[in-house]
Amino acid sequence: MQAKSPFFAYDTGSFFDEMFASPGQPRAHYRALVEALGHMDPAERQERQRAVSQSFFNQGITFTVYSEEEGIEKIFPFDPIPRIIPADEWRIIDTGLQQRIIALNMFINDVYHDQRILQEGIIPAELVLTGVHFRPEFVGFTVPKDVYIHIVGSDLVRDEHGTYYVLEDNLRSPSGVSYVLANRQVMKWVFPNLFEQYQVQPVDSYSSDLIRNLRWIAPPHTDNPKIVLLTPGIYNSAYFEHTYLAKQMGIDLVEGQDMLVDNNIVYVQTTKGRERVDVIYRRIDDDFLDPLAFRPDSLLGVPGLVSAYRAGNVSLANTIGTGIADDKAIYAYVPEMIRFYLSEEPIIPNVPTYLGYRESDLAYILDNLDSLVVKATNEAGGYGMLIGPHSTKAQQMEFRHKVAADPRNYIAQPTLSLSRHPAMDEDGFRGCHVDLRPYVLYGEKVTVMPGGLTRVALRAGSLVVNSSQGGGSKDTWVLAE
Amino acid sequence: MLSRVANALLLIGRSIERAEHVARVVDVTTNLTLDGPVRDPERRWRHVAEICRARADIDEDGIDATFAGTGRYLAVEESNRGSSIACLTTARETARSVRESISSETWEQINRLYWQVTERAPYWSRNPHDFFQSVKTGCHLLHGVIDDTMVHDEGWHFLSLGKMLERLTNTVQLIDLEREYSATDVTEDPGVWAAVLKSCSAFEAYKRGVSSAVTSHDVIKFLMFGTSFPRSSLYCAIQVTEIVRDITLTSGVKGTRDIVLERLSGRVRSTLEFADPDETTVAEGDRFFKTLRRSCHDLEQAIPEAYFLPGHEVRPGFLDIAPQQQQQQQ
Repeated sequence: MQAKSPFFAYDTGSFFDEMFASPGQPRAHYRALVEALGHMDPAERQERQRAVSQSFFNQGITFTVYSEEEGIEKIFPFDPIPRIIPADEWRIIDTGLQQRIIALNMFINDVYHDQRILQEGIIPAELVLTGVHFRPEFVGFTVPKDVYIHIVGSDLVRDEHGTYYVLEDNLRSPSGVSYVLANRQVMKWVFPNLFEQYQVQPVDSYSSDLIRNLRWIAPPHTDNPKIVLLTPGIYNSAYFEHTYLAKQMGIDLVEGQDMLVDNNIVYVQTTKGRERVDVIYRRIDDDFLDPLAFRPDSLLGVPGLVSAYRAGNVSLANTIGTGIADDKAIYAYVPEMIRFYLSEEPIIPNVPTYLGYRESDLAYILDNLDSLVVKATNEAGGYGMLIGPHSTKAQQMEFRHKVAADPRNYIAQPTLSLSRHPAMDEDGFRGCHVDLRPYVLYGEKVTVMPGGLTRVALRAGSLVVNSSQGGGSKDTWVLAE
Repeated sequence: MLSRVANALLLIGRSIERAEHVARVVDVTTNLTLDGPVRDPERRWRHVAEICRARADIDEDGIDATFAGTGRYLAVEESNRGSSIACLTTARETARSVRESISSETWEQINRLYWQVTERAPYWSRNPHDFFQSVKTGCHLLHGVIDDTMVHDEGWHFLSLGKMLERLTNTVQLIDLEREYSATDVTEDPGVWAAVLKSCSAFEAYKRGVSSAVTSHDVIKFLMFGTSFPRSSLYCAIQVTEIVRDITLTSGVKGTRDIVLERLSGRVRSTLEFADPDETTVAEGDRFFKTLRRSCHDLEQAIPEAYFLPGHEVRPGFLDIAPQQQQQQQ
């Protein structure tokens, strides 16, 4: 007698399910996985899940939730059922993201030079000039190799038909890639049997690709540039990632206090004395980089760093001023950027977006707060957001005030019926909403890491995938051709 | 390497060694005070508190000079910076702040040891020997991992320097304090001097290498001047001079500060190398130990000046700027 599939009670609901085309019918690329999971009894599955948590704990792959005086270390929640993407699907994502990142880079370059896209009226000049992260003091400044966005994380979602959309771009300090690498490692240790049936593309070239790109943007005076990773320090929630990447790349992890600027050259304080720094991969926001240039109260930066940067004596990845392009109001114009700079149609569409900045859109937003997702244009981590259908009247009222008071800084999008993926729970499996964040590196070539972070909203019924609000992640398998 | 990182590694080396030292000393004292009421347990516990640099706390805070009071304070009290558990916490938190400079295996072992010990801490008194064993074994394992998985470059040298410096000063201080303690005794108590040996994991080595009779004279000689016993003061002093020299070699630069360090570490070493054992006994050793401890102190003070910029206040991982650091990560 055939054992019951562990998914016999699994409910796909009305959503696009990544694993099941219809109840009981796994998609072709998931069949082998479903079968392998069927051969594991629930106790074994749970035990391996515990081994995963223990491994993360031992490695100290945690993030810290700060409240009042204490910091509580939590393991970044991980669900061991991998998300699988077949090669032909990935090809579209790969080419679509390359197209998008090239257009975004050209936009940033344009906006800090001739501003053609504004002159031609494609994007309202006011929208750009009022952008919180626009740095007018850098108009006219040329960066090494004209590349601004060396590291990008763009978030993709799917609707109920399975169509991929780009939900947002992260062009300042995208994080999460270390979890991708750590997840893959743990999956191999704890669930090697699941890999047997598939040809999964490896993800381990990320750090060598990144270091190669960082070398590529170094100032020309040396053949052996000194590259460092600048971190805000151990209290930052992504600190694990900073140490992980620094170690993988074999570069120093530095804090602002370790560096000084003399005569427009950046140095790091070592036991042998000062050593010149040529490239800084900075995980600190523009505002905190240099108390002499931006926020004077910043203790995290290096006084004089921006002068050294302007003098061309040190390169930054990502450059200063990229935030203008991940402003959510500017996001709405990315398809226009692709058309304007590349004369191409976007391969991956945007989610339809209403701008508080546009009067007609504003009226629509205010009338439909209960059905839209409303977001502040420049916040991250899932904060500053209203999910209409899940919100109370009081929350809607609060947002009504906020949006009306500062319309330029709010956008709204229809509530997407995000795709779901089975995740393990105590009894078996439950469908949880997922998104996908592939990581793109821009150097001499644009490379998209195969896979990325599949973030999963683990709280039952939740649409929020951010770790700060109960989200977790899955390993993402992109299959070879 | 970064000054801040070098300082952190030194601190890690010292913290681990201190955690182990405190564990060992408290373990031995617990054992010693259980039998033989003639041994004045209260006086003994106060003495141990002094060895563990907590005498002032015991006196001022009115902590009982007992196993349950002082023993606990030295083993698992988090607010006591010198307790075994606090030293491990310091090691772990500091390691976390320089994680990229140590091997993953090293970090993982420090992390595991920290969690193991903190989880057991509430129940430590049910089986104290077992608790201290887990600290000691964990530290031994950690030393092995460090030695075997890290390149023996500058970072490794600073870890070793911290360990050896701490071991050196701990051993010297332990013996000196024991001398003072015993100075008023009419007859020597071999049990007490055996405990001193055990505090340095040296009991068996002594029995095998020196003699079956435990006398203060021979114990002091063994623990201070034995060149092949890895915990003797002289052995540690030799290690320190060699590490200081290796650090200079690695950096390829010999500045005035390096010379100062070489001189100070050399002075400690030669004080031990050329000592007359008759001048180091319980009765006669006051002057010798005073000079030696001052030399050790000078050496400790010179290290930050040599390697970490003067006036550059380095507090790895404990800066008071948490709110700013928690900025947006996308």
